[in-house]
Amino acid sequence: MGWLISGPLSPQGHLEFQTGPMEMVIIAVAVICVFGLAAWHARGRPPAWPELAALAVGLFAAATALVRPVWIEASGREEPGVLAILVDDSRSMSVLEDGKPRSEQVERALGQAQVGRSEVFTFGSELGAGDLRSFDQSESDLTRALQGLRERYAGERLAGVVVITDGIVRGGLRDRVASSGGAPLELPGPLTIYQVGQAEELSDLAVSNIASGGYAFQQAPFEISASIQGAGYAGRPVPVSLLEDGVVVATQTVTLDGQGKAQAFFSLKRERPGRFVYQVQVPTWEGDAVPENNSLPVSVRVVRDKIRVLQVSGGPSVDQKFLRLFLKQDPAVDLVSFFILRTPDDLEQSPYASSELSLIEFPYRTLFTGGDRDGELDSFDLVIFQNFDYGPYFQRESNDLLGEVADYVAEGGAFVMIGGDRSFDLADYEGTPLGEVLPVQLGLAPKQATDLTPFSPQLSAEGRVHPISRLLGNAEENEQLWERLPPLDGLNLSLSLAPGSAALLQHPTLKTQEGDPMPVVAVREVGKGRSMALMGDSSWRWVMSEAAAGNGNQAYLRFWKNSMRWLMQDRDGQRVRVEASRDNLGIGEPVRLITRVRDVGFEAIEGVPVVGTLQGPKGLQSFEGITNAAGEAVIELEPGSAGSYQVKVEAGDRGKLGQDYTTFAVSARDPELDELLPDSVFLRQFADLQGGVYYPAGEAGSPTLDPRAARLVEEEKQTPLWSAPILALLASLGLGLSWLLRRLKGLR
Amino acid sequence: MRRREFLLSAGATLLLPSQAWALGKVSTVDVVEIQLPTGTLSRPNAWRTMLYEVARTTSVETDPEGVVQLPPDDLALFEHPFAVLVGDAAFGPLSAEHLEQLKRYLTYGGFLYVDDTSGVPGSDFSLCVRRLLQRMFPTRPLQRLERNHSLYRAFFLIERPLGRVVGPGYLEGIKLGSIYPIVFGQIDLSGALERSESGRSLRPIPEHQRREATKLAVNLVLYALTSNYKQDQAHVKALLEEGRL
Repeated sequence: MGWLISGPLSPQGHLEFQTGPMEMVIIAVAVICVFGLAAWHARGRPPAWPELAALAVGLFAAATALVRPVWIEASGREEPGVLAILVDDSRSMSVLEDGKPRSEQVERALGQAQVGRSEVFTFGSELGAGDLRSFDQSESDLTRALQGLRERYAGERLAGVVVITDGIVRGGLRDRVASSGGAPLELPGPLTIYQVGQAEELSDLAVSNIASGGYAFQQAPFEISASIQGAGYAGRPVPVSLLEDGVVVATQTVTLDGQGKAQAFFSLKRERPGRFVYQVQVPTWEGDAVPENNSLPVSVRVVRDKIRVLQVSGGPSVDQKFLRLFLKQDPAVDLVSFFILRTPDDLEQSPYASSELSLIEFPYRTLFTGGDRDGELDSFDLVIFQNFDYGPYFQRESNDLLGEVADYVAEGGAFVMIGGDRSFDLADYEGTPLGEVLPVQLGLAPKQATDLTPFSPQLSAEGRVHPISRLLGNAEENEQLWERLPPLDGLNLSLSLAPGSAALLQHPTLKTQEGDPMPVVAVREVGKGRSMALMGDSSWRWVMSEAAAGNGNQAYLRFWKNSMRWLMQDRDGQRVRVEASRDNLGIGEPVRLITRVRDVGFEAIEGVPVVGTLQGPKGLQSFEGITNAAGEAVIELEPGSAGSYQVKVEAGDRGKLGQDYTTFAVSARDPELDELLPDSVFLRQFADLQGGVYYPAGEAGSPTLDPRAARLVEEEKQTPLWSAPILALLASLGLGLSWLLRRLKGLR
Repeated sequence: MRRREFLLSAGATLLLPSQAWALGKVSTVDVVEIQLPTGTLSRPNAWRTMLYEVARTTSVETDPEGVVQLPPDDLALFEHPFAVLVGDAAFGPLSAEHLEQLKRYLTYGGFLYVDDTSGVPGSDFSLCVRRLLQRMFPTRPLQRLERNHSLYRAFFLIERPLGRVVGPGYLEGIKLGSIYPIVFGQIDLSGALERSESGRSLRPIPEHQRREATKLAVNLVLYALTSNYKQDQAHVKALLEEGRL
């Protein structure tokens, strides 16, 4: 009988109507109207109830069919759980092992892993949908991939989780697993790991890491240590080179241990502050899987611990006293003073025995030779010859030792010669190597080499803007201050300024042979270094006269502080400075070069044109910009190739406001390929931690499956009652019988 | 003739301190005697002896005749960074203005040697000096200069400071920063140095004592110019190696 109602119906089902409420109302109204009309026509005409009853049955059946009733029965079924397979898609999977990419082993692992219902995913920095393998992703983060898997199958138990990888993964998972007591990850199914890649089949020599500390102090030894990794080369000696500007500065040979690892150490010392780019390099042997990882650059910033100053004076004097007091009171200065307390002349006249004296030998050879001759000259940031006559001490070594000092200046040192009766032409510096780096030209006979008339020096045009002679930020006040200072008591004369030099202070009336004002304070840039000449020995009066007037000693202090900063090219004292946003960057990464421009008072200047050059391994690149309201010109560049880069900027019209330099290093290294050896230790530990199974490369096995893992698939059975034959039967019988009874009574 | 040749020939023939060849007089070392209305003395010949000995023995260029007397309120004081205050009797308190000026002189680089010539421990002069210095530097008391002080090896090695009188066996000083710009001695140093116009010693003391006083005077000038130079590491190391420390 089930056919009468379109099929068997379960009592767990429920009834739904496929007709909307409005349509149901219309149908109901229509049925009532039809029945009401029939009942109205049948009034007073008994017996009418049989036909009305048949009509009611027919209308009910028709109306029921019209509202389209459906019998809904819900049901579900269980399916076996999914096996999720995660394939490492990073570039380390492309490394050649025995001439073939490591990724070729993935197919074999997949063949073992794919049992039952499985879905394959790739992972790089995160989980990728589908099996779209490229083996070219820049990293592989297994932690994020597993997290992505959990989210994708939230609430569902998987038959298993399979990971196919070389174990070189990021995201901190390796550190977490390596640290004892690491808690297992929450995974949606039991873990099976298939390792691909075998260390035994890989040949790769690499500088895997460099540790430099990032910065070092000048004069103090610092160390660069490099981790060398040589897969396939265990036990072999490896020559490791340290390069600076492409030139090998140190080499050492290390022997790789049984795991193919070694550490190389380079001890260095820089005499000057600055940024220096080094590169550690190992050779590229035949069969090297990734030659790009055979070198690694690093930028080291060398900073001053203290400013080391050598003050050599031909004899104690009032002028020397005040300069020493100034230098000693600055905690940032490490002062080494040598004063000639007794000359050969004094020796001849002295009635005292040497044992009564507290004198030491003048260690001039140590002081005036560089590090290559075990001397200390290079260790000084600033050398001051204050009224010092070298002759009685250097004698036959004069040219040699003065040449050392001249070389020191040319190589970036700072030098000041201060006047007096034992200085400049009165000490025969003319024609010596040191005389060649002075900012004044010597060559006057002793009787013409001095003028003992007190005078007030005047600022030259250069002196009005030069950082040494700008004692006050306001130009007018600065000039007034110089006019206020007491006269100097005599002057060492010179033939003229040396080429490329500038006089900052000059004599008001005396002229050089060329007719220019006689220099009093002159400066010069010599090679990488700078020199200064103060042609007198009474600048100490700038202290005492100002103190007498209650003005303190700021004029003297600022003059010498400015001098030291300028001579030592102190970056803190520079009005133009350029910095790279990062010292070490990867190829393809942009670098921001920030040039800051300040005025004399160190206020930011807006609208200053900045031009610069970037000298890299592939040539010179120019750039330009203009400073903003913060006094900064920011230029973003993308260095195209690996190596060290030197940046030079000039600010203002033709660099009038100053220039600065910096360096940075660009590495061609692909961080993903910094490490190539499969990490079987990590994979085994991870599998153990998770209670899973680990298959080393080349080993076969099935994945661990959770037999309880299943998923419920919901289904719904719909039985359309509106098409049930019983409704059609009742409707036709009811309506037909009603019509027949009416016809039998002679009605229509 | 170059300067060196000139000096060598002059030194060889005269055996006298070489004539100061500094660029001007202001660059040579001289002495200013601070004169108070009462209690102080002037002994220019003593300081000339000192300057002569300094020039003869060391490379320091001095003005052998350069001894001037100035009151403490004279701004010319600032042109002479080496000052002495010599006395044997009580003196009145300095005005606040004079005190401030003297303090400024010492703070910015001047040097003052106070010489008590009385030879009496706790003399009126020394009491007045202590009061003066207490007012000038209330937080910095006079300290005894230790045996290894730079002043005792500024040029000569000095075991004990001696003047006309043997005194307490030490000098005192006030420390500003890392140096002592004020040194106080109660040994009548100037008395040991002072000579007559004819060059003869004015006071009869043992020759050894006079010699030691002269050495101390030289060290005073050298210390005033080089301050704690002898404490620099290089000097200490070298002197230790030679067994002289």
